[in-house]
Amino acid sequence: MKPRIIERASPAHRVWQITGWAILVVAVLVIAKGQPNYRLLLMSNAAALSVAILGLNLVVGFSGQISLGHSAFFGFGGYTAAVLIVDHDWPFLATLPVAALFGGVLGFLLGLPALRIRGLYLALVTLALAIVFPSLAKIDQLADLTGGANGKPVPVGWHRPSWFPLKVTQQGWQFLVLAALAGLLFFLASNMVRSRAGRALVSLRDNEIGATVSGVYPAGWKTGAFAISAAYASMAGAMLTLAIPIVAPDTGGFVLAIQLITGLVLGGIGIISGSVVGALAIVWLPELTRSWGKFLPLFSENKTALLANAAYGILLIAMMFVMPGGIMWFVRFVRSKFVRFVPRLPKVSSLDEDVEVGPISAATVQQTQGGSA
Amino acid sequence: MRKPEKVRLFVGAAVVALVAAACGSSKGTTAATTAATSGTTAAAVATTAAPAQTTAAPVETTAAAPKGFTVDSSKCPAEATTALAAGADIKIGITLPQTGPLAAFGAIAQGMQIYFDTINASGGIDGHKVVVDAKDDAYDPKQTVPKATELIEQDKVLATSFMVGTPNVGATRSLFEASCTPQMYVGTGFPAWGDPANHSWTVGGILAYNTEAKIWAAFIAKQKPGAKVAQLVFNNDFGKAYQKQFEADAKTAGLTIVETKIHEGTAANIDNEVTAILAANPDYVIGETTGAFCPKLMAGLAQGGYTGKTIISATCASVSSFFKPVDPAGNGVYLLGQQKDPSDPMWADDPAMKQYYADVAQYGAGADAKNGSILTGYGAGGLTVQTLKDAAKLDGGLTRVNVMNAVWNINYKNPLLFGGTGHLDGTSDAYLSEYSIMLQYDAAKKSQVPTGDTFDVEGKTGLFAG
Repeated sequence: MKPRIIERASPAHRVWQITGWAILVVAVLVIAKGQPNYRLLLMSNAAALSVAILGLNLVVGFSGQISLGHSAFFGFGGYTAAVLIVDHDWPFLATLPVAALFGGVLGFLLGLPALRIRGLYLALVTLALAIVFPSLAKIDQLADLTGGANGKPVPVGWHRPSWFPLKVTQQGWQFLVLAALAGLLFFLASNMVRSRAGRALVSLRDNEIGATVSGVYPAGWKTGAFAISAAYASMAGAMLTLAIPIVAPDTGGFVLAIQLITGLVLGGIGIISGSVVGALAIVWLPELTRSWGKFLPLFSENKTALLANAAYGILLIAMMFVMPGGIMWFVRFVRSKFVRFVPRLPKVSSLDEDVEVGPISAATVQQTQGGSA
Repeated sequence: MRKPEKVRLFVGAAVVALVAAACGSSKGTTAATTAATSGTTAAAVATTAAPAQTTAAPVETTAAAPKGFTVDSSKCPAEATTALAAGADIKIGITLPQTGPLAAFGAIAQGMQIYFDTINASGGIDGHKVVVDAKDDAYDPKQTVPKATELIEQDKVLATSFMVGTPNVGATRSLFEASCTPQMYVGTGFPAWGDPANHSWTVGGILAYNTEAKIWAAFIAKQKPGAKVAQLVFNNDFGKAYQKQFEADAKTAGLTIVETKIHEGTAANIDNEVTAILAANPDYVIGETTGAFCPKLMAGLAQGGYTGKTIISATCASVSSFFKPVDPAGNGVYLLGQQKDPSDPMWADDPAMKQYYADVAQYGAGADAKNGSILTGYGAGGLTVQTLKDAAKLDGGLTRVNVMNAVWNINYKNPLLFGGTGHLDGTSDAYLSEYSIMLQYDAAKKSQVPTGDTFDVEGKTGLFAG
């Protein structure tokens, strides 16, 4: 069967897009209304983590720099929000821009070394950040601010306003707020990567010399990407305080750094929607392996779930073999058998008669391009 | 779609690490697993139990209105004062790390179920079977909150017992208050879990870390007034609690702190810290740390030719896990003991320990009785059962409010502890576990021998202030 070809920005493509968003919105509302609170809390975790993974995606997937330190930005954002909410009585939403700003400045500064070093070396430098952050959060001199090693409780207590038509629980409301925020941030990011900025980053990733020759200034774009990416991760940390009423040193610890990278690769590097899928995967896959464990002879409910982590690891390996580009890459691969979205080409004014133009060659162009949403 | 190969390499490494972590934890209370991050106590955890050997202190025996401190149930939902249906299971919830770096603590839930099974075999409590409902949170508060919500709202547990981790309990305390579900005997020694006036639904179940540090200061001051002390501190909730209290008490006791070294849970070794401590030439070294850092400290000091005295945290009590691997470096090391060590041959003929071994063999499904976490859970199970029995005798029967009222007036003795009475009184004594003895390791006997110094601050630590 020949796949159907749809040009981007054509009416047919808009129908696809709007349908997709509508399904997503309905799904979020249905989940918020119908699911028990503990699942909604996990969904809220996933919503916040998806924003952090998106931030990481911007740096790894689009500008080609590796960062293992995004957990530190996440933790930093969480502490920023906690201090503003608890010590200065700020409302929750007002803390997000501040977390983004602080995170962005920090990301910019830490992006500077990224200009000189790359690849594994950059990974090591950022890894240091992930390891240092929990220690910084614990030092005595900051204990009044951070709560030290015991963490800092953050009672946000934002209840569903009376005008809101859908009757949801407290956890349902938290999830709706976080999902809406995530939706907004995803929309902004997906517009950004489709703009001049996105093309500049992808060109730098794929061929830095070529991009520089074409007038893309590497230092500016790379540090800019690091700053925006850190701002996203920082906001994600601030968002999580709505659902989880404490920030602790390990909130921004090394385990989270690995989780974020795992989510990124599982979802699909360089695919915006992959960040949502990746966040859902890192939240729900361990839950699934734990609950499957009950049905296996090796486990029992109250025994140490020794093999749950191993099962999770094996599942990750298997997924990487079956879907090397991530889950969303796989979804797109399957979808491409039925329908393909191709960029609209500019009108061609003169051409050789032998050359075939139109959607077919556009499809070829699309395949050779870098990622987009 | 081009993917940076290196990132995939990292994920591959991460996956290997995950698998390794899972396999590593299979050894139970091994040094390596406990060391990785922050800690709560596993080995030397004190809880009280044993219905058969209740203490001389009087316990209500007939149905009665709760005496003494009672929780304020005026804002509770109706189900908090509704008695459990006849024949329904009593569900006791617990969140704890069953996966991740601290997975060794996961065995606590297993130990608790073993104790419950012994009770269930003889008909349970008033015809109710007692079951553990354990949820794995990997010591991550972000996961504890959904898990605690699930316990309260979906599983409708009667109470939780021995939830592990200071930030984890801190993140969920308000949930338990709002739903009027007892968060009893939490497995962390953070002093704030003794504040019935403001947070009456949460109470600690182990020796508060600051109490232990107070005893060290008193012990040293008695042995050698004006001694020079160096401390090695684990940079986490419990190491810092030790440090803060010890520094305050050392000052009043006239001790001099000559060196304080702080290490991270991720440290590969503590050679530099040990060297600095040796250079300060202290009379006493205190290991305010846990897990693999205890044997590393003892071995490091011995290699450095240290001749002074050493005290280590009660969390490093396990002879098989922490002392045997570095024999004879630990010879003469002091530590406070609360709970008998199941791997110490000294207790082979102890009746309570024999009973424990028999119960684990019968109900443990292959559990390792030498694992201190199993014993801890078993002890917590005994304490929980006694609390439930007390609650069942109160007017209104087994309700969540009655369970909490029973908690705040509990009075029991656990034969697996060295002594003392686990006592709570919501108006004056908010710390359950306050009895300990000083032990000294004898490398020749592979045993921790009581020195004869006992410390009973029962009832003297009062309520949490500040």
